[in-house]
Amino acid sequence: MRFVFVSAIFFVGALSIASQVSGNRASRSGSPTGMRGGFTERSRSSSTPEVFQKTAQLVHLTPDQLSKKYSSDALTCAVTPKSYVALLIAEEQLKLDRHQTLEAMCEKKTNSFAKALSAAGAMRLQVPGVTGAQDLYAREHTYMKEIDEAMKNRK
Amino acid sequence: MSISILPVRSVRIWSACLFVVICVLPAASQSHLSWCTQHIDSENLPQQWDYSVAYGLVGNAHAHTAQPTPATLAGNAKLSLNLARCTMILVAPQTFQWSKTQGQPSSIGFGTTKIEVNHILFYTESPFQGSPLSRGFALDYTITLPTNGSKPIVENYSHQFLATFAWDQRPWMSYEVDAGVLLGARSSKPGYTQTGLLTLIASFNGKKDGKSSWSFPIEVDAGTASDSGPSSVVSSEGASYKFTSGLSLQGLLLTGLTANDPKVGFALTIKYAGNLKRKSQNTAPSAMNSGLI
Repeated sequence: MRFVFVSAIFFVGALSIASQVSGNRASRSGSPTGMRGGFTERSRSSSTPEVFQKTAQLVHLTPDQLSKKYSSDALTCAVTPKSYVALLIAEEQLKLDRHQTLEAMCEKKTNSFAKALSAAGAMRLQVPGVTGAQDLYAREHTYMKEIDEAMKNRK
Repeated sequence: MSISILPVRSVRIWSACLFVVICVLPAASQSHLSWCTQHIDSENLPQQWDYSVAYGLVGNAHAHTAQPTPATLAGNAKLSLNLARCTMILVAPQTFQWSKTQGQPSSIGFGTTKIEVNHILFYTESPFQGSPLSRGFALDYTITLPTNGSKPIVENYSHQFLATFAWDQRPWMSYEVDAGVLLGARSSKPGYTQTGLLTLIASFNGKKDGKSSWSFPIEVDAGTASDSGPSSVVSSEGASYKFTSGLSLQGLLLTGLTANDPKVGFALTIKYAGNLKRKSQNTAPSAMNSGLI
């Protein structure tokens, strides 16, 4: 299908080249008529994020399971993929309430669960084994490093 | 140096630069943007080796001017490739251009070929229900090659520089502002024509979570007067639909907002997007980057 479509495009192009006659002035900017730059020219990626493929084993899931879990949790709050994996590790190790933390992350407009929980106040910092905000930041940093390592190792 | 001794065209270019410095850069800095790199943590940016192949037909009617102006029909092919997550290259040959002025015979020929390099400098995504909201600042350079048969001297290569700031207001609603300059080809004398460019884009997705296959882009393109032509403002509005196979279709209505622009026009585009190293992209688009092709 892809091959046929690409071939058709170049066939039309070749026909047009064969019929070239006169010149025309270069059209100026503007997407419909000429060239445009920026983000709208790009197609938003829609496949399973690379992070999920390479870090799923950290949270004992398959990439597809992780992707589905992310899509489901995105209804509560969509954070960036790496931040989401860090949150899942924190949920497993620190017994965080994932949904409550996600709500706090959206409320505080941050991808950092440590920042969201710290900003949310002392009540939410009563996480078993965590002594304070600094400790929470340190743990998040550790999880991020684990994720970075996993991404390097899976190349 | 006093601004009064600058030529008028230089003032326009300086105005465009000032716009970028005064409006765009502060907005970028206040958005807590970070450098866009290959390993940026992002849900929305394209992957490396994402590509798209598109072909579009663009037609324009006569302008409102008393002097006869041509009606045109052109076929534009486009091939884009993400060399990295933040860097895209696009090649766009105009495969034919037909024009007809009242009282004169029509003409048809091959058009120019454009090569564009777009690099996102700063980028961030903030959490939101449904999909993270993106913000980014990009630089864009386009060279136009005179494949239409013009004599290949240096001044026949047009150069376009754009600064772009784009943001998602909501998962279904995104905006973009482009500002820059077009150094146009000039055959009669040395040097370039200089046209200041400003583009405003809004794109609306059919669903609140931004996951609809339908999106509705609106765009206004403005260009200052130069010795190649008068000032121009063209609006375009329409709809695009993305199939699960990676194929998308888009139809736009073009309207010239000044007397010198074509009264009305249309743009129809078919596009296929995929990745050179993976299977085709297979889910619905979201608001920000699904807009104009």
